[in-house]
Amino acid sequence: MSEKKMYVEKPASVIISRRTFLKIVGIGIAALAIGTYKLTDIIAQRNKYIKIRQAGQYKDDQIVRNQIAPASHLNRMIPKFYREFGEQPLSEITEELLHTHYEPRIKTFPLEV
Amino acid sequence: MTEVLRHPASSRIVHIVHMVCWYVLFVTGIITYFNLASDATKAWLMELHIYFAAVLTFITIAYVVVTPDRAFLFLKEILHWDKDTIAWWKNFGGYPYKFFGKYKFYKYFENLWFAKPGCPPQTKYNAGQKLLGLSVVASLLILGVTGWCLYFFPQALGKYWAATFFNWHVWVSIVVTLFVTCCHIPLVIINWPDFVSMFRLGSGTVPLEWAKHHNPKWVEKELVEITEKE
Repeated sequence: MSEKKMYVEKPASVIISRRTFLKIVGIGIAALAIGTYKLTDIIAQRNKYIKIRQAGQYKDDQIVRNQIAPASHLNRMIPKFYREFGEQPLSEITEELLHTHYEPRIKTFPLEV
Repeated sequence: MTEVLRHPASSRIVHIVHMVCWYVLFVTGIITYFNLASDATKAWLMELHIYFAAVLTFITIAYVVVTPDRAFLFLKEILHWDKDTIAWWKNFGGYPYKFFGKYKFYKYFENLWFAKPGCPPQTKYNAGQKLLGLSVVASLLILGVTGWCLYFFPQALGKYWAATFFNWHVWVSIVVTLFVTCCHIPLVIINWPDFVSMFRLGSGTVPLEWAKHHNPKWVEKELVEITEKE
């Protein structure tokens, strides 16, 4: 059995003193905490407006349900449309006006701002 | 021949996974950003982009969590800039002279500051490698934060921050990839023992003489001798 000489780096424990270790951990935690706080703050501010708007829309929706129609097919405008204009569902004029066609509209990255 | 362990197994695994993931992310990102494929292909490439980004994020965090000592030594090395590191930039470590000094046209440049021969003694990484290390660490942070924010909650960022994050994500990755492709890869292939120590199927060692020539301060101050029984 022969012996081979080799060199390796000193282990980190020899290079880092306890004080240095605490400094690094402290700076790391501070950076992480400030970054996370800032990020959550931005999100919270943005979500605040989204939630206010959402609440307003639900409120409007409830008003419509209570006062105009509890379901879309009970909307008074629909029978009126067929009675006065569209004849009956799937009639020629209804199909021409209301029928929709599918076309792919994939946007790979939806951030055109 | 006496060997020096330059790249331990953990660093080599991380380096290789980073390399593969980085270029897949770059190619998929570039094709999508510059609109070089059909919509369906771009959608698939973006899926691929996310999978590889997850692997890159995981391996980076795992490196810090599993081998914090290696991560610390790496950061310490790239953040340690002494007078010799600064002096390296005065003539780019003598690389212009090494590459072009033998050609006749070089006499027109030889009095310029960057054309002089010679290289001040360097630590484990030379000044150029330190700059590369810093840019890769910074770009991993920037690309990770911007990329995952854009993936998970672009609507919460709002128009301004979403656009800013997106532009940073694109242009930081392009600049760093150009730096790696045009400087790091050609130079490390020229420094063949370093390249071999990173990629061969064995230990990540370089010859002691090579290390003394390229990284004298590292050999002098940061290495300890061990004896291996064969």
